[in-house]
Amino acid sequence: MQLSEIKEILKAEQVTGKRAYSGEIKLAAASDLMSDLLTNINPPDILLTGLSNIQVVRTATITGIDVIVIVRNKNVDDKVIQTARDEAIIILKSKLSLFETCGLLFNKGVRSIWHTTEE
Amino acid sequence: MSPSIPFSNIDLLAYKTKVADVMKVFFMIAQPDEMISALNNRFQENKDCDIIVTENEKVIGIIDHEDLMILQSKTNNDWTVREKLTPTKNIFYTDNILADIVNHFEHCGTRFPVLNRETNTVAGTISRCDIVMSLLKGTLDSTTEYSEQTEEKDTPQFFKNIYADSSYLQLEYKIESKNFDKAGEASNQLKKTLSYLNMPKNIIQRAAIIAYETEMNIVIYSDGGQIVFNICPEQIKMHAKDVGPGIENIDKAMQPGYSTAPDWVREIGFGAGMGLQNINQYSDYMDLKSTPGKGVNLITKVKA
Repeated sequence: MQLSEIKEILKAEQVTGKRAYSGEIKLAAASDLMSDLLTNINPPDILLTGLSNIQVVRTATITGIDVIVIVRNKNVDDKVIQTARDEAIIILKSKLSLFETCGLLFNKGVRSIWHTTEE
Repeated sequence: MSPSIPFSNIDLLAYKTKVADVMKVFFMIAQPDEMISALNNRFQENKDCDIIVTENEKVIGIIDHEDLMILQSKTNNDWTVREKLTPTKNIFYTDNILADIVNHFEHCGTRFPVLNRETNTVAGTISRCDIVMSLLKGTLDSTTEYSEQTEEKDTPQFFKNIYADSSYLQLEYKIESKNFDKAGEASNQLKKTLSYLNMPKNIIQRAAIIAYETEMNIVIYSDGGQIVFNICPEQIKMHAKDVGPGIENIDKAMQPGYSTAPDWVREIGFGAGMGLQNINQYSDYMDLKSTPGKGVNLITKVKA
């Protein structure tokens, strides 16, 4: 999926400015536990989470995640936004719940980084 | 006319360049009730000054240097600054990127004041012309992603020009207990350094994750510590030491899911009990020792 599609479907607002992202988003991870993201050496293209503190950005930088969606309309601090911008990470904010956002992206073909290839 | 700098993507520059690098720093502050004729250019050498108008310490408008020159040349007329200013609808900060302001030029005027975010004082002004002039003078940063990557990737760059029987680079980081604003900074700095050294991607990723989990453990559980990295082309060795309660039962702590984290740690996304397991998984060698009541000593190696 393209970032613009995702923004539309999740009705999400891009809070880190107007940075464009032309990459294809195929793999996702949804978690409020940062350690979970560190168990897989290959980063997802997009992270969905309810956590809105600076550790989300730090974890994303360490693992190489480009796009973060913060759900449930959580408030995102200016410092968090600025750090994300410094690291060229895009943060989207959605009013939808984690469950809904995951379902919507899954319906459009986005899959989990832990997805096994046998169907 | 093609620019002399070898970039091919203006977007990249707009997102990478900070306003502070391009803005004009020659400006004057004036009060709204001052007279235009009384404003004297305090800079020599033909440096034109823009006027930033403040009232009650708040920026309310701007007079572009060209407009000022025209007004001052009309010697049989005089106005107050307030009468001739262009009201400011947008204010930018030195740490904004060019991409933030470029779109505003279409609708909201030709020159904007730039403030320093920490002190909230005026630092300069910026206009479209300033950006174009910077481009033409080649002062915008054009290196990074577009520089040639023709050097062999075999030997990490740093070590290529060092002649010794053996050599390594040592990085030390002090980790502060319970400082969650800074937590993660050390591992991010390590990751950047390893990228700069052109270490293989796989090594960087593994070392970074190990560093991050270790750093978070020190911040969350200990009273402070330090991490020392020994880097050579074949491996990255990490030695982490902290002072604090230590680990009561190392075997238990290594079990996935086992965690001694208090609730507040879980609320910030940690304490899942996966940290030590992740470190074990990604390292080629791991030696974890602890004296309960004293602290923890962890050595890991990531090999090429």
